[in-house]
Amino acid sequence: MARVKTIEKGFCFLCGRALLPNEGYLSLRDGSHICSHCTGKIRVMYPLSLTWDKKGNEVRHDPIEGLSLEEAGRALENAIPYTEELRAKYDHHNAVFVVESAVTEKGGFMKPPVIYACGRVIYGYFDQEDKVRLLHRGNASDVTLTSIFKVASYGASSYPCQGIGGKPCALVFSGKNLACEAGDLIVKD
Amino acid sequence: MALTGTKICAVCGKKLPKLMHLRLPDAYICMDCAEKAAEMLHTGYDAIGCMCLSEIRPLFERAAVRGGREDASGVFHNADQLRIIYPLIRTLREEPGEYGYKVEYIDPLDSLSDAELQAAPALAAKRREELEAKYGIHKAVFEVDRITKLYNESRGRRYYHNEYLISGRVLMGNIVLRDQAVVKRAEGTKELLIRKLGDCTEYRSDLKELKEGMEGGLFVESALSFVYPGDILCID
Repeated sequence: MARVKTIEKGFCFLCGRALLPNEGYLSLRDGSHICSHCTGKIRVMYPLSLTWDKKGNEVRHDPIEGLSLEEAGRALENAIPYTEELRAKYDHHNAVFVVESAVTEKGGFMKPPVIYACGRVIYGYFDQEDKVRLLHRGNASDVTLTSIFKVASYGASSYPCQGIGGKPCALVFSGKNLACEAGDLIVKD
Repeated sequence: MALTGTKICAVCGKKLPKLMHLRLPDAYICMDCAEKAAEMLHTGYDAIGCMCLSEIRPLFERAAVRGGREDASGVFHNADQLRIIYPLIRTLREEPGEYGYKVEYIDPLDSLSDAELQAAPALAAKRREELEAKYGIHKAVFEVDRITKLYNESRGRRYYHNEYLISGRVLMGNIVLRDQAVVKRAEGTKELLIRKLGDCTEYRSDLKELKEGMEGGLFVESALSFVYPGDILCID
């Protein structure tokens, strides 16, 4: 019988799942590791921020890596109450995205302009073809997301992804007479 | 041996399909059994085809009693009743050839000592009481890990449809098709109808039941934006 060789790099200290390199896992301050499932649950409390060095290389600032196992365990228990607080703060919208910068491009012949809104998902999640509302200076416009990209060093990378609470991303949408600027909110109900 | 003689699978006893069968040196088995044998031995159909029935049948007998373990005193402990504290752990194994990796499950019951195995039923009962005290008495309780919007891909373009996969783990109880899941929000409770059950990937959606401790996915056909990672779904 062939010997089975599994690829896990240990087990999550919080939930006991296998740590798989393809799914990703994080090392905490005290040397313990937590899986991507647990990280995803507490990400909304500890948002990831990205910066770029002079050469354009991405530098991650992940506050979860600064937590101890005990703190991460407490955060896991408080993640949903924290999300409820955010929902109450943002009028019970199901998902909220804050725009940090926006770029408008020509949409082509007879097509409306395309807006790339870069920023961070505060909570909830955004997918392609979701119907959302752009809140700009007290005005609300209904738009459909044409794509969502991870924020890369130059503009946005070409792989569509899901915009998840606590992670930076770029939402792409188009429409006539739309204006979008830093500080605007994109919400989903 | 000619197929015209016995037309039943030598392992499962079901009627042998005309094409979907495998010839062993001394018997014929259906492809379902051949596939299971190949999975258990981590090998291909060619290797299974060279094995005798006497080598394959014990594998199935062992698999039938795999749903539990006997301790030193001869008491059989049913695995389904212990999964609440010892769930199967999903991992990947390297698959030689073109497939790369394949899902494999680590069974923590295999590595338990006799003393731990004997203490397990009491621990399971205690854990069940803790969960009931925390979430109330429900048919099942499911913890959400992530929510995925499903799509079909054709010619490099994604076509999204109004279907979501909620993946996570069954903390307590069993979930079956068309169960109603309830999530509590500050402004009220929201209900979801479970259309299909599957594993954690979106490729399989033909499971009939998710048992206690299993990692799996609930397929929901409605606009879904009010469930978050870490949420608890109560099923009644």
